[in-house]
Amino acid sequence: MKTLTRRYHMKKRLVSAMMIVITICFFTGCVSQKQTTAPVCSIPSSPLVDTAFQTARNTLSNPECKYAFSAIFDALLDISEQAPAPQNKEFFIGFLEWVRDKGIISAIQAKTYYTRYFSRRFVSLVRDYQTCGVCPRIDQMLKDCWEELKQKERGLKICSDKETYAKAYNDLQKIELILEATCSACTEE
Amino acid sequence: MKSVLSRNRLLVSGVICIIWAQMFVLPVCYATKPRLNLFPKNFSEHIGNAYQEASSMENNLRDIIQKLETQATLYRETGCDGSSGPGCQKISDQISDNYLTMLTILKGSLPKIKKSIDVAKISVEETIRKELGKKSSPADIQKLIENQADNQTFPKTVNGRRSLSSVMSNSFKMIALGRDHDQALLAAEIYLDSKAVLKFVDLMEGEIAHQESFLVIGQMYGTLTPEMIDTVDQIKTVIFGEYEEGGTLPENFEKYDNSKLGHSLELD
Repeated sequence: MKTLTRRYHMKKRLVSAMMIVITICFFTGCVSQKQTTAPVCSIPSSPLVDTAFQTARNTLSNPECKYAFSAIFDALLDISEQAPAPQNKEFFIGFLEWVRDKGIISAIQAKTYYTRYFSRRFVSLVRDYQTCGVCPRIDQMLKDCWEELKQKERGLKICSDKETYAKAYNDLQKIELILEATCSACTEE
Repeated sequence: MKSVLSRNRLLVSGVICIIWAQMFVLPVCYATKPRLNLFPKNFSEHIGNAYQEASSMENNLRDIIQKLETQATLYRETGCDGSSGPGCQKISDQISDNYLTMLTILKGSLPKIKKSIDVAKISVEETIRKELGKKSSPADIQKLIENQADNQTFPKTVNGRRSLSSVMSNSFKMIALGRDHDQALLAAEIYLDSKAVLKFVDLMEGEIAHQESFLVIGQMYGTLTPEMIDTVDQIKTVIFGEYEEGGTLPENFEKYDNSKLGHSLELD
């Protein structure tokens, strides 16, 4: 009898213990879970250009924020647009060199960003194929160039660099004419 | 003794270095800046001939077109429309005669102009295809014109048309000036202009033959008919030219030159 009573009590304790474990599991989650908090990759928002660039560097110093580069670059353009000044070009050059040296973007990406926004040269012009080979898609390429000119207008206005924009604009008109003639000559063969 | 030997050795090494540099390095340096030659040897001659022909045709046509327009105005303003009076008939005959003269001048000059332009066009077409089409990428073309953009000029022929002789004389002068860095643009302009002129000449020749036959059988006389007015207008475009303004720059840029910054970050 005594044995039966002891067994009864043991079962009762076991059930209670299980109930406690289940309750704990219910509220906390039973499976061991790694605590993952998303990194805070702040996008620059200060109206002060130099502060915005500093925020950008701070954010990108966190390796987990690498993915935010494009959004950060765009935010820097937005902020600088509100305060156009010649020294903005130096800020952008310094920033692009920094992200390149830190390995956040590759050297070719840094060049592409710089050229697209701050140089007279056109990234959209094909570099690796002869002109005759590009003729079937010349219209799209020129359309891309005119789009790129708008990006240059944005970037170069920020830096008050009228001269480079004028050169890019002038070049594009001439390139269009030369490509029209070249593709016409290519098709006459 | 030892120091003399090492000095000699240094001298010999230096000479070898210089020879090596001249043999391999310098030619590469020169090779990176190729001299474009888009205009074949006889090109200027062909353009010159075309200019002479076009210029002489334009001079001959200028007077006749002026006469035609004066006579047509006179015909209208004196109420000759629908009238068969002797005065009106006389003006009408003069209009027909002058129109026929204009067509005859065109008929005589156009084939000569066409021939000269066609020869020039074919030769420049070949060099454009070879030098710009097959040896260069579109990005190389921008590098070719980079030096030239500093003068801030826009090619007028992008949107507009010039008179035949001014196209030819402009081409002739530019080639004669030998502006190396302008060659790609100049060749493109000349080539496209030549193609447009040849197309126009073909159309004109067809139209002349058509109208001449009507005039000869006497179905087209009196005042200028709409067909005649169209022809006269087209010829006027070729003689006097018409311009459209090139593009303009946005003015809201502040003036500051920081364009030299950041070249190390520029794409090649």
